[in-house]
Formats: sequence, structure tokens, C-alpha cells
Amino acid sequence: MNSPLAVAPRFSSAEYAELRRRTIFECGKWDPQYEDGCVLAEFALVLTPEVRDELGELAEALAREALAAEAELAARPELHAELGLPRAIRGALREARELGLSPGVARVQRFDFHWTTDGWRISEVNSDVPGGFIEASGLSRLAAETLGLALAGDPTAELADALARATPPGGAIGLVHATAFTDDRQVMLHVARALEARGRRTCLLDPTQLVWLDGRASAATAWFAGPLDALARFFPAEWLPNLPVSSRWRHFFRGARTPLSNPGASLLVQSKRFPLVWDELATPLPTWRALLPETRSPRDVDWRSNDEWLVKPALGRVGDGVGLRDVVAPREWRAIARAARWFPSHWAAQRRFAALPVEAGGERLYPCLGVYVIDGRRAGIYGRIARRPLIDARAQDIAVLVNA
Amino acid sequence: MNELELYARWAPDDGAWTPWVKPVLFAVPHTLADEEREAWRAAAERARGRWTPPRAGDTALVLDLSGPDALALAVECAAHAYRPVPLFNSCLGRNAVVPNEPLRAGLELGVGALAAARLHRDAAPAFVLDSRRSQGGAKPLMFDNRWRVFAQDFPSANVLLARSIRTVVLVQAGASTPSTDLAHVLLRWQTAGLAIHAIDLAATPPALVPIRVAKPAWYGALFQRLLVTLGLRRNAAGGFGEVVPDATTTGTGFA
Repeated sequence: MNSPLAVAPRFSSAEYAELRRRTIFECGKWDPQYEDGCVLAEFALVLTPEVRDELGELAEALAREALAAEAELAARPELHAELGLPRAIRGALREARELGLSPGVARVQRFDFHWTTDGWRISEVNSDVPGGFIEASGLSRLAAETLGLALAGDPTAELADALARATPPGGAIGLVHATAFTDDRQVMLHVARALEARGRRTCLLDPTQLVWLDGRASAATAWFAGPLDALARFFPAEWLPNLPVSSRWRHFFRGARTPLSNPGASLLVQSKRFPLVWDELATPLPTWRALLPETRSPRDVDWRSNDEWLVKPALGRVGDGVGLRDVVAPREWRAIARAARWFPSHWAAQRRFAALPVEAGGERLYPCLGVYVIDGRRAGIYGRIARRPLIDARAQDIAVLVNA
Repeated sequence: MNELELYARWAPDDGAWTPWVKPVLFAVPHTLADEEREAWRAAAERARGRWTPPRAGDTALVLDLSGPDALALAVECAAHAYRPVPLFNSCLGRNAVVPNEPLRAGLELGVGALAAARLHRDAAPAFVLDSRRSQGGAKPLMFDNRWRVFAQDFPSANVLLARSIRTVVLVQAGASTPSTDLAHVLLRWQTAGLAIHAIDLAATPPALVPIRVAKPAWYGALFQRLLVTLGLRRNAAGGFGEVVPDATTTGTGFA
């Protein structure tokens, strides 16, 4: 099968050094190294405009279906346990019946596409707090300048535009994140710069620094105090219940009047167990059914001895905990298998697809294209590439460009 | 000197350990205050003659001292042919829990001594940490910028061994065993065959002794970074606490 992905020539060592420096200092990427490897790929992926458009159309269809399913699921609390959501979050979502769901604005989703023996397939949606903005907008822009190719989109600009549309000129936007993690903070600063360029004020804060009054959020920090017109959250929803009750974190799910990007309910379709409730929903999901491999409860399939199946945590991120027996280290597989066996309701079993590698510099590398959709419109691509058919923390970030 | 030029001094293009230098503190503009100059001078004075590292060759240093004292000692070690590798992974900010301004100032004020050392590109590494990184608590209104180290912040044992490093010396003051986060790193190295030695500069007299790194809680756990994260989030939104997390919870940072 012909690959729709081409690989640009490897950057020269001077180009690559310059790219790394500029990605750090111009784009604010502070984590360019992971143990022994640079996380920036030494070449770029190149798509034709037709492939970019095909991915964009598929992603927009997935996004439409996901938002419709999210709305239906929010009103079906009896299904939330099946999704593997923590009890505290299920409780918060149940309260939405009385208090109303917290409103969404600048809805960001990212669908991770893989080229396989069966064509395009997705491995997951990041509908809660997708990252990759620095790489998809910044790294890709620098690579595009170097190679004379076009960007596949600019998700940072699209997100900032969407938040700006939702707030008044001069309005204040709270960027909620785990402030201690520089790899989260770098994204917040990147987005903050784009918002400030659009005439919005920003406040970087952690979720305990919000004050909620009648559902409206204000910031209470030493560097910013006052009401916020919108919140952009980069604090994973499933971490929120770990906060003190006094933080009133449940407002991210219900009862808020300050709009949220994204609201906590976005976790409903991010769960890897989302397909387990499809048949209970009235929402048609034809694109999801076509692109996401068959997914079952680990209780229902023989994933331990049948290599056609993998297991993944219901709320896993960055590929952590994905159990591909012949790909991960034996020790890791044993730990994953043990966790999936002991706590199957927090895991999903998924039929494996055969990802097809690209050849670059004599190596076979497996790409993943994370296609952003913001407020229903395609908004760029975050590329990652790995030496094994598993995109995890060891994967490299790669610029995704388009032939003019 | 702008941020990029400053970074290039500590992380030269051809430096063998350049990839591991954390860019965070370099990437922010900073105007030196008089008191920062004074504080750096004091730290440099304290470091002078405080400790003489083993002859550079097959040894790497991990300097886990308080704030600018670690950096000042690293600059002293540069005079003994060790390449300082700053691993400060935390931001500057108003009302921050960890005051990083003295470190940022030290990076700027230490470049002269660093240049004078005329280090070879393959000089042995002196990894520089701030022992205050996870101390203290975040009060309301504060910027919680506490941090921890993870195995991925350092080169692997394979790389160290391939570059002829056989021994790692942990330098601390007031402690003889590594902090929990660092123990995760050192134990991996020790298991791979590197000898780990430690010295407590606050002891009288300080003595360099071999140590066996004790297995820290959750060592090698599937979701070690997550576990740390959840542990800290039991009592704060971004700080680093010590509460044992639920073993069943899954997930990590956003992807």
C-alpha cells in the first residue's frame, strides 16, 4: 500500500542545531531532551494537500460525532461507571442534572491518526487537554521556513482566536495548569503569548487559585486578582478530584458560568472505554466505528495470550501503560497485565492495527498524526514518530508540512 | 548577553553533555539586581576551597546543594576539568515557592569563571541540582514552582559507561543519602554497574564514601512520574507532597 506520507530530507547538522535552539528560545520548548535522545526529529513529514484535507475531513466528522456523544453521555450518568471514570467525577457529573453542565468554549480535540495496512485508523482522541501546540505551531513553522514548505495549520493561533472570540477585548483568560511542571507551563506561556497578541489579558495559575462565586471564576494570586472571562484548562480532568474540596473543582464539570476550554465533561469521550457504551447511545458514530479499532472490556477477550489485542488504561495518556506484548519490555508487560487483570474496569482491550512505518535515514519509523479540531474546524497537525509501533514519551516530535 | 548567548556558554554546540542542560532558566529575560550580584559573590566565596573533586576522568559529579551554592561549586569544579550541566527545571516567577532568581543570576555571573576553565568538549559532567527544589509548601497566592528530577532528565547508565564514566559522586550538605527523586536515578545507574559515592560537605570532616542506594518507594513503577504527580496533588495543585497515591489510578500529564 502506498504511503500517503513522505519524508523530507534530513536537516543538515547546522540546520538541526538552529532548529533546536529556535524551538527552545522562540517557541518556548523547554523539554527538548528525554534521557538519551533529543525529542525533535531530524526531518519532517510531508503531506500532499489532498492527504491533509482527507485527514481534516475525517477529524471534523469525528469531532462532530464526539461532541454529540458527549452531550448525550452527560445526560446518561448510568453509563459513566462503564467508562472507567473515577467515582468523584461521576458524582460531579450527576450533579449537572440540577446545576447544569459547565459551558464549553473554544472546544479543542485532537485525533491521533496512524497509517495502517487498512488505511487510516485512529488510536484515540485527546478531548480533554490535548497538548502539542508548541510543536505543531512552532516547530513546524521553523521547519517550514527551513524547507520552503507550507504549514499544515496553526492550532495555537486557532485556539487563541477561538478564545478571543469568546471573550471581550481586554478580557482576562485564566490558564489553569499544574504550575510545577515546566512542560505544562511552557505550553501555557506559548498560548498566553498568542492571547496577549490578540488583546487579551492572561493569568497563569493552578486550579486551587480559582475563587468561584455564583459559578463565576476569579483568580486569587499574587500576580493577578479579579474575575476571569474564560478558563483554558491544561490540568487533566481526572486529576481534579485530587484537589482539596475547598478548591471547588466540581465547577469544571457542573454549575460554572465562566466558559471553559475544555469543560470537564470532555473526559466522557476521551475514556478509552468510550466504545463500550456506543450501542447504548442514540448518537450515530459512523466515522468512529470506521476508524477506531474494535474495543472491548478486558474481561471479554483473551488479550493475555492473543496478540491481536492490546490493553490500555481507560484514562491513560502519552501512550503510558499501553500493553503491546511484543513491543514493550517484558517487565513492563507483566506490570500492565497485572494492573489490567486486577482492575479491568479501568482498562480497555483494543484490537491491534498494523501500523506501517516510513523509511528515514535507513530506519523504519512509525508516525502518528494528531489532527486538531477547534470549535468544529480542522486546525493543524501535531506529528510524532517512534522507532517502535507505540507512541509514548520516547517518541519524537516531528514537523508535519504540506507540499505547496 | 542575551538569553541565547548565555545558554550557548553553558551548553556549547559541541559539548558532550549539552543535550541535558535544562533551558528553562536560560529562556527568560532577567535583569540582574545588585543584591543578586552580592549573593553570587557570597556563594562563590563559600564554594572556594570548599571541596576538591576527584581528578576528572572516569567520574561524574551530582551536586545537590542549596540554590546558588550548587552552581558556585560547579564553577569551582570546572577549574578541575568538570563540565557543569545545570539541570534546574523550574521557572522564575513572582511570589514563587522556590526562589530561582539567585540561580538565574549565577548562570549569568558565573560565565566568566566557566570560560576561564577552557573545558574540553568531552570534559566529565558535573550535574547541578538545587536541593531546595521540593522543599517548603505552597501557600495560597503563591506560584508553586517546586520540582523533582526524573530518570529522563539525566543520561542513561549506558551513555555514561560508553563515555568511560565508572563512578558517580553525589555531593550534598547535611545529608548522606540521596533525596528520594534522585535515588530513582542513582539506583538505575548503580544497578547498571556504576559505583556511587557520596560526600556530606556539612560533616566534619567531609568524607567521600561508597554508598548502596536504597530502593525508593515506587521504584520502577509503571507510572512512576504519574505516581509522583498524584502524590503531590493530594495536597496541592502543583507542588510536590508525599502522599501515597491510589495504585489503581491511571493517566499522566496531558499529551
